[in-house]
Amino acid sequence: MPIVSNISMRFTRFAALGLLAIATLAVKADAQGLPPLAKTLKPSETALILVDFQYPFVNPNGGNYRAVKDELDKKQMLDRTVELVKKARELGVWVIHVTEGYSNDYKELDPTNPGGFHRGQILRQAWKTGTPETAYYPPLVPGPGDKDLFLPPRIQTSAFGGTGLDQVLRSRGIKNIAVAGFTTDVCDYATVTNGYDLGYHVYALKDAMVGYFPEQSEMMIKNTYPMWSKVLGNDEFVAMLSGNT
Amino acid sequence: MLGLLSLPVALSQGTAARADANTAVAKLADLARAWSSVKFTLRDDDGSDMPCIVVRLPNDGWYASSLICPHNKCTVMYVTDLDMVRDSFNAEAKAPVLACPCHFSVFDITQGGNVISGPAPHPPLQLHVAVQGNDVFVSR
Repeated sequence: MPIVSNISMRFTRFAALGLLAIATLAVKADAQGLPPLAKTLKPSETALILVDFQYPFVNPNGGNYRAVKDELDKKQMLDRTVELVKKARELGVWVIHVTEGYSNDYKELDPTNPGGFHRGQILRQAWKTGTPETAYYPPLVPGPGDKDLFLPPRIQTSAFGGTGLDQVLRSRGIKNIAVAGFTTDVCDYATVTNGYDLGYHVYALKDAMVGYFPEQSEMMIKNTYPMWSKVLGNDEFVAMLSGNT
Repeated sequence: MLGLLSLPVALSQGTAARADANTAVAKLADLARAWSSVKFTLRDDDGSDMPCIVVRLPNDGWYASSLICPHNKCTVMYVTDLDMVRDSFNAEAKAPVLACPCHFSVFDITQGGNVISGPAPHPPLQLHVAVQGNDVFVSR
C-alpha cells in the first residue's frame, strides 16, 4: 500500500506541474504579438480566381439569374469585374477562369447524396458541359494576347476541387489568391476556405462577388470571410498590387 | 376580366413566344382533362418574362400562378408523378404539385399553392383564371 501511495503522490505532483506549465503557456500566448500583414502584393505571386462567370448567372435567361440580379445591378458587378480583370492582366496578375459543368447523363454525380446541390442540377437538367447554358461570359473570355488560364469544368463547390488548381498555382510560385464570382455564399466561400486550408493568402473581392441570398452573403462577408481571408474592394486590391497602399 | 385583357401575355407551347395583349393563354380544349396544364409567360414588374402555369383541377377548378419560387427565385416544376414527388422532393402528396429543384420546396396546387415542405415562405404569386367561350385567360 505505501508503494501505491507513493506513486499516487508522484502522479499528483506531476499533474500539478503540468497544469502550471499549461497556465504559464496560456498567459504567454495572450501576450504574443503578430507580424504585420502584407500591405502590397507582388503581381507575379498573385492569381485572380474567377468563379463561374457563366450563362446561368450572367444571362437574363439563365436559371440562376433571378436570384442574383438585384445584387448584380446594385454593385454593377459584371462591368466592374471586366474592368478589374483588365487591370489585373495589365499588372501581370495571373487570371484563372474556373467553371462548373457536368456530363450529359450526370453519371459522375451521386444522386443519392442527401445534399441537395447535385440532386437539384440533375432534376433541372442544368449545367451540362458544352451546351449554351454553360457558356462563358463573353466580355471575360481571354483574347489572343492574354495569358489567362481556362481550367476544365469542375463538379465540386471549391475552385480547387478536381481542377488541379493547387498544383498549377504552386508550380508557378503563386502565394496569394484573390477570389471573385458566383456565389458569395456557396462556391466563392468554398474556394476561400479551401484556399486558406491549402496555405494561400486569400483576398476576397467583395465588389466582384454576389450571393444567392444577399443578406446572408453580407453577413458572411462581415462575420465569416475575415476568418479565412482579407476582404477587399476592387480598388483596394489593385492598390495593393500597385504598391499604392 | 377587363383588367386581364390589357396584360401582355405570351403563350408557351414548348418554347415561349411573346404574344400581343388580349391573347388568351390557352384554348379550353388544351385543358380539357384534370391536371392538364399550359405554361406561358407574363411580363414581370421589371419587364422580364415571368414563367407561369395554368392547371385544370378536378371538378372544373383552376390553378394558375407564377413558376418563380418565392424562396430564391428558381423556376419550379409541375410534377404529376407522385412517386417523383416522394423520392425526388421528399414530400408526400396526394395530387400533382409544384416543386422547386433548387431548395426542394413543394407547393399544393389544390390549396392555393400552400407550402407542403421546404424553405419557401409562402405560395408562388397566385393568378386569376377566367374562361370566355373557348379561351382561357389569366390575370394578376
